[in-house]
Amino acid sequence: MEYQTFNESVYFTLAEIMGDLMSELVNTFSQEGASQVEQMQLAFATGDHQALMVAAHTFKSSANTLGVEKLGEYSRQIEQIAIDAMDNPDTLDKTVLGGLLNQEVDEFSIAIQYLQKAVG
Amino acid sequence: MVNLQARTVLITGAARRIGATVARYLHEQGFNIAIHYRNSSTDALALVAELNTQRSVSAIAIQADLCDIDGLEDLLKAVLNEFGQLDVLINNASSFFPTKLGTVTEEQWDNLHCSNLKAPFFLAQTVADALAETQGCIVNMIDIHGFRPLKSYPVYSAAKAGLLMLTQSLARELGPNVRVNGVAPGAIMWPEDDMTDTAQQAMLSKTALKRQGSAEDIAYAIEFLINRANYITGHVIPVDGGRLLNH
Repeated sequence: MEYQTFNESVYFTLAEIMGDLMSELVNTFSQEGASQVEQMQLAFATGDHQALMVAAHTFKSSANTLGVEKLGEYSRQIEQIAIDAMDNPDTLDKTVLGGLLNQEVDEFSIAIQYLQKAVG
Repeated sequence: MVNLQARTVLITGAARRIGATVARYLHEQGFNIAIHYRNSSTDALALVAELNTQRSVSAIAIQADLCDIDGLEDLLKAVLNEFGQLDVLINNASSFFPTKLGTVTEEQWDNLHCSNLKAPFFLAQTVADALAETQGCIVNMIDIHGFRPLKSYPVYSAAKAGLLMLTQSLARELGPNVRVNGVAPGAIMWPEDDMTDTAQQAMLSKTALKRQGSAEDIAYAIEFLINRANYITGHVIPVDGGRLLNH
């Protein structure tokens, strides 16, 4: 499945419902997202798979709600790796997870640019 | 302006997935909706806006950590301040993650038992008087794995089994003024689309109905327990396509 960096259709459908509150929602996502990325990085550094799973799970949903799909997909993959690691620690490939986290950080930055431009 | 004639439902963990579907459906049925969330501010705000667009001043979002028992009174106050009454509590919030035997930490045990058992109990205790005033009810979201264990999830399964017993115990404690029932979903929503087709088919092959259920199926069962089950308390309805018959 192809994931878009910014799915305009999802975003503008939501924007129509949210009206004036859309900029508040984008700000909330921006602040919440920054905190969740930080939590994921900390969880990765300390090997706390549960904290990693929780942060990725929340972030994934918020990203998909706003139409920043690629960010949602990276979060989904991170969440799944964390779940698999909790079930069987031998499956954890730290290099893959570290690489995904870096992609997540980069994508978050791009997503915020798109969202801020869209909200005007 | 708030419709004070409308009944009010508080749904925990309602910003996303099944909780959000239940919120939308009950809102369609005319309820005022209090959406509790812990971390999902973006989703909660979006859902509240959606519901209030359909009917103004009919939904609010309330952030709370349900494991902070001292904060539960504030959660109730927020609902009463907005809508004036509480008619239904749906204990939906839940942690769900594997706990492989030999690796389980006390923190994981506490986390799973808090969201799935401790918080539903203390929230029920907190709202009991408000529900008694309205002859209201509680619906607990259990899981078929409260009846039969899920492999690699022993702590989660035990917590849900506790919630099953809590449903029966609270029904005795809170009667005759408050009914307490539960719903136990089976193969409803795959864990965020992560299951392979093969795994999904293997799971579906074990259900009598040979198909996946929907979040709406859960919402319909909950609406039944709220609106049409005046002589039912202490029971749990599996919404599992017959999965428990062949577990």
